[in-house]
Amino acid sequence: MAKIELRNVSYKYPFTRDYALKDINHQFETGKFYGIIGENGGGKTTLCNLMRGLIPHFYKGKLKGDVIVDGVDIREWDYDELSAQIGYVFENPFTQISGIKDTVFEEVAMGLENLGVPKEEIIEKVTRVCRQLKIEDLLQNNPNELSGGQRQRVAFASIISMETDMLIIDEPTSQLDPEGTEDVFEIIKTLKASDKTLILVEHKIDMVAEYCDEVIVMNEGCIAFSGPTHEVLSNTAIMEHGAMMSQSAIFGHEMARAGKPLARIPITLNEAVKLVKNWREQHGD
Amino acid sequence: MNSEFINRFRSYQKTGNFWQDLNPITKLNICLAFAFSALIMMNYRYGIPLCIGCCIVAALAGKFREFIKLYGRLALIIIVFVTIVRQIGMRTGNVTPLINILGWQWYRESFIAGWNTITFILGFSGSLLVFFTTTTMRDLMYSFEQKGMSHENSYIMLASMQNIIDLKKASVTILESQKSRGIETEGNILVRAKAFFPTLGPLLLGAIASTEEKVIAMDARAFSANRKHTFLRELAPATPLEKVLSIAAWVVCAGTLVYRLAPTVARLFQ
Repeated sequence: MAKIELRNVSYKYPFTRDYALKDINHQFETGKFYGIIGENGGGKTTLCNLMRGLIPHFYKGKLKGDVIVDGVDIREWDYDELSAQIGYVFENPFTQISGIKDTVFEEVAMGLENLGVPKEEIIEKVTRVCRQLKIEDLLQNNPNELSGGQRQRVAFASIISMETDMLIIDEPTSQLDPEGTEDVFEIIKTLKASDKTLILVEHKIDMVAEYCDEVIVMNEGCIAFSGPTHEVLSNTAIMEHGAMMSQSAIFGHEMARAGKPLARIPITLNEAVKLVKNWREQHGD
Repeated sequence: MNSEFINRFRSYQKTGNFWQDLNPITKLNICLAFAFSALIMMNYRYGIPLCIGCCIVAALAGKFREFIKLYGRLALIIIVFVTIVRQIGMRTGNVTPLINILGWQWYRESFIAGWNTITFILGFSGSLLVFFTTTTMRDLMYSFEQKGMSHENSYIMLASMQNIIDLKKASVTILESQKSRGIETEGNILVRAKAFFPTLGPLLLGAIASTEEKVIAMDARAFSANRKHTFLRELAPATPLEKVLSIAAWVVCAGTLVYRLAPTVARLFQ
């Protein structure tokens, strides 16, 4: 069943001449993990804003076509109610902290307070999520004094605790150091085990290759490629549309070019190791 | 997981200190009533005990250090400034010489007038300072929300406080990056001003951009959801004793008004 369906969607921001999204058609299935990749300015964040309802409720502009969320057109959705349906974590960890709570525990609980969840239930959910995301040690800390990686973890916890069916994660690691990035992907790994519909915008292709079920390549406001992760990320043509290939896929193509093709083009490191081992066993090289 | 910390949210927030645990609205009522009474009385016989009372309340609330740090500075400035201005302003009329310092004659009447002004300013500001040093903005906003203030207004008030801190941090970062590019940022006032004013542009633009992101982030937390909000952190509502204290404070305030107006009214009816 489609969680979100985009039919002939085009969108132009206010006071701009060009469309940021052009004739987008796609279905996002419930429970799947989607990766969106592509060069900067390709329309990835605009697509996220559209699915989250920020377009057309927050950003006005000109929207053509239909965006259907859970069978209801996005224009008919109560924008505030959408936040209870679709979680949104974005790139800047510093602006995602409310700035009005004194402890991480209260910060994580804020969304649930706004939804009017009973206090005992809030305590139970926040405790569980903080344990799950391994931020128990930070509970009494002031959220305004955390590092970028810690803030991003807290932002994730805040959204996850709201238990939305769908989560949009827009470049969550772009402003983080390697340690913070590792923290975030640890969380994403945990999320993948749930039944949620996940949409991840990310430049780190190796991570997308490892976690996503399907990948969409955005270029100049259009969907250049979409399909199962392996099919898209092993295709060299994506590079012509501003997307990068994983190191493993490049290695696989290089092997083929050298006359030593592997059984298939690997897209993750583990897959590459496995395929090379098989190749060596078969060829004794 | 620190269960003692988590359990604190299951009951009303208490510190164990009588004054600090009063409902913020009660504290506000008491402090405002005494602040206004200082304005009405304008007399050192009322002002001095009130100033001492403010210090005692701050000490009993365990906030004397924070209180006196600000109040001491304020008192010093006000005492010096008002005393000198009053002495300069009262050189003629029916005055009683008090003391002569290096040829400068000081008068008894100007001293009394000065002390009346000083103690009314310090009584008024002391009452308000007691309130703000013993009450957090968060608790005050919570109480206002309970009284019907909108969630949005409460957020704006609280977030503004944090924004000031964030802007200060951002300003330091911009100045440091300017410094690393070889721009002189330290020295006399002129040098500092020349370095500071160009930072206002990026500072303001950054603030505007981050405000937009903040709005989106808050929306992601269902900030504007049209539902009755839950308060994880709750303060005890005002007890009957607190209500009596508030009323008593305003009765004192009304009493000072009657005391001040009584002679005028009596003259009118004579």
